Amino acid sequence: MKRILSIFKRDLQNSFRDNLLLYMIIIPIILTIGLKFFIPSTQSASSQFALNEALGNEVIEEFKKYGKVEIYSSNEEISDRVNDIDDIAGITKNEEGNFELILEGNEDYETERIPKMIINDLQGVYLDTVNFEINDIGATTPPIALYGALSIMVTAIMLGGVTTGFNIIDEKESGTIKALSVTPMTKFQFIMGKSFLGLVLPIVHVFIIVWIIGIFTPNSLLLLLMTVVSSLISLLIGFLIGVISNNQISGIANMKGIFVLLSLSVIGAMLLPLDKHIFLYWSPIYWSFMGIKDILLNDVTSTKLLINIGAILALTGIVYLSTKNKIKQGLS
Amino acid sequence: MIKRFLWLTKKDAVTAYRNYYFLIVVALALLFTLLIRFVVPEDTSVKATVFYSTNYSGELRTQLDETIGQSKDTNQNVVSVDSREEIIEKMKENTNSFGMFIKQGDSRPTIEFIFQGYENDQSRNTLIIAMKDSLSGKTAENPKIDTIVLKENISRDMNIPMNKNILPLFLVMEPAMLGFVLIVSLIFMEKEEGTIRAYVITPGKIPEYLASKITVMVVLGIISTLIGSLIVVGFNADYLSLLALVIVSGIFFSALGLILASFFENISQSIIWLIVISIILSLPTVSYFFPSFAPIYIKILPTYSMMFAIREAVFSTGNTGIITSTLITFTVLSIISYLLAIFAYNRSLLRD
Repeated sequence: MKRILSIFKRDLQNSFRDNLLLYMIIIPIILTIGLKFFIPSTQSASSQFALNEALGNEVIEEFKKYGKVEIYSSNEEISDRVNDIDDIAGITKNEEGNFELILEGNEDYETERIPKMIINDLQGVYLDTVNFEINDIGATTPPIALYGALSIMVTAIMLGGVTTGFNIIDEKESGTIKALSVTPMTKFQFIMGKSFLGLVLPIVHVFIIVWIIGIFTPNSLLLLLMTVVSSLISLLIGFLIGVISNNQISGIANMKGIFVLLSLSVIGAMLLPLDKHIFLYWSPIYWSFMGIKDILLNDVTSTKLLINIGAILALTGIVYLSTKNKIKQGLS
Repeated sequence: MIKRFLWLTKKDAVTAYRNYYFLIVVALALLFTLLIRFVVPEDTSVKATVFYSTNYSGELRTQLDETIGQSKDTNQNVVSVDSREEIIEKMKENTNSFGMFIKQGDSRPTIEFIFQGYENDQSRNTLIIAMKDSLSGKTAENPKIDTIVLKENISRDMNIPMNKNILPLFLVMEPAMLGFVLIVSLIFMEKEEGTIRAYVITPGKIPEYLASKITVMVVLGIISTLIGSLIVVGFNADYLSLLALVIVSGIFFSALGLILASFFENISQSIIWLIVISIILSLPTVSYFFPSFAPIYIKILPTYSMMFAIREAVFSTGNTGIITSTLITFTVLSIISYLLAIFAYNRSLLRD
């Protein structure tokens, strides 16, 4: 244990020396705070309209019920705004008093349709044949908050592995890994010492992220379990990057390759329909993502949990068995 | 000078090759594009799913069925379920969804919109007005609304399949931006080996030293662009504009990487900043999928206009203005960032 702690202490000192640990601690938190500020603006991302102030308050207020309104004093200004890259509909009135919709020409169908509907409603075109009732199921966490928080959590978990990997490359480059091999320290102790940081930090981060975003889950213990299990694959990847990279330059290249591959599975989990998720089953990060998502949505069952944890452990085991010799050699 | 530059470029290309840069760039381009082509379905959607159920059999039933039926025909995200309870159950599984339950009211049918709870009033009002519109079918008929299209010559509603629509995102995140990360590691390797200090006592100049590295990154970007685009859209793209965009953004992002690297002593110190800046630069992805969402802090990011310009080059609508303006902006940015990089390296060498 003493040897494990001394390795951990040395890594800690190295990381502090380069400010790496400080960055590792604060960056996921800063990203989460950034996400927290980003969420409200995405919530108002319904539609946007550029209105001529001559339309009057009644019309302007009506449009505000449906999206973000920008006021302009002339049709030229509206045209300039409409010509910007984003989708925005310009609304004004012509000399005959008719409403005029100004479009760039490449907007989606809704950008044209929504202002027309609002004008129709203003002019009393719609008949009241149906009553409308509004209710909700009390889910206050928008998808952008959930998926944003999940992405930062996965990033924080993977950062633990990256730091371990780059610490190993550092040991290799400075030759200390060879020096350590002639001490009484076993490989297991070395690995445990190197893994400590990568195991502890993600746990702290995951709970801070949940707290900042305000996703309250009654399954804190399960979240802790899933984070620890997920950190195992991250550490294994970190060790792999460390042993297969002879220097930091190839470390970056290997990290880029592996991380793009893994982030593909996260993007896939967000975008692909469930029946296509079979293409993502190879990735342990996919199972971590889905596992943490279920826990945060309070939609976790014992079967789902067993499947997610079992898949991560099985895939980690497969990667470990197929790379065991390489890692042993690399640490020699 | 040219000879020295060519020699340096050859040396950097060999270093990049030996450290698997070419292999990784080609493998990632192949993987990404094969996934886009063969795994991601064409009809993937980021729009909300609608679960609906009807418990109404009055005189408007046929009209309501027809209205919903039309939506269902054009939108795969409209799903019929058996009861209000099932609507809620399905909504809990899919947070990007809402429900619609049609029932008998006091004198006329009532449509109950069941939301998740996080939606704002504007989104809710829009859904209600859209339902009113669908029920009356009046949108296209109001003669008192004139429509002026500013750019008549550009194509509208390209109907780009969702999987192919991801290609421009890949082209920005990988070929256009790969230099940002990879050039940093090239620089640190040479810093550690002391190559840069040895270089400055030769007749070689810093501008050539940095330009050779940027050139290698741009070549990697071009290879990745060609592999990606040819597999996904074949020859149906404006390759001249596309390559021009990838080249200017490759220069800019590589120079940005060089500037970033000049602030740090080793890769460990810089790696977190590389990750954070990459995440910030990828924020415009949200605006790419939702073009009405364009807050100022996203619009000022260079990747914002680049995403739409590259999309225009890949799926041409005739809106060449965006390509020209992005090319001009990035050319200016590239020159400024390259000059800043030269300044930063001259300064850091003096400091050392």
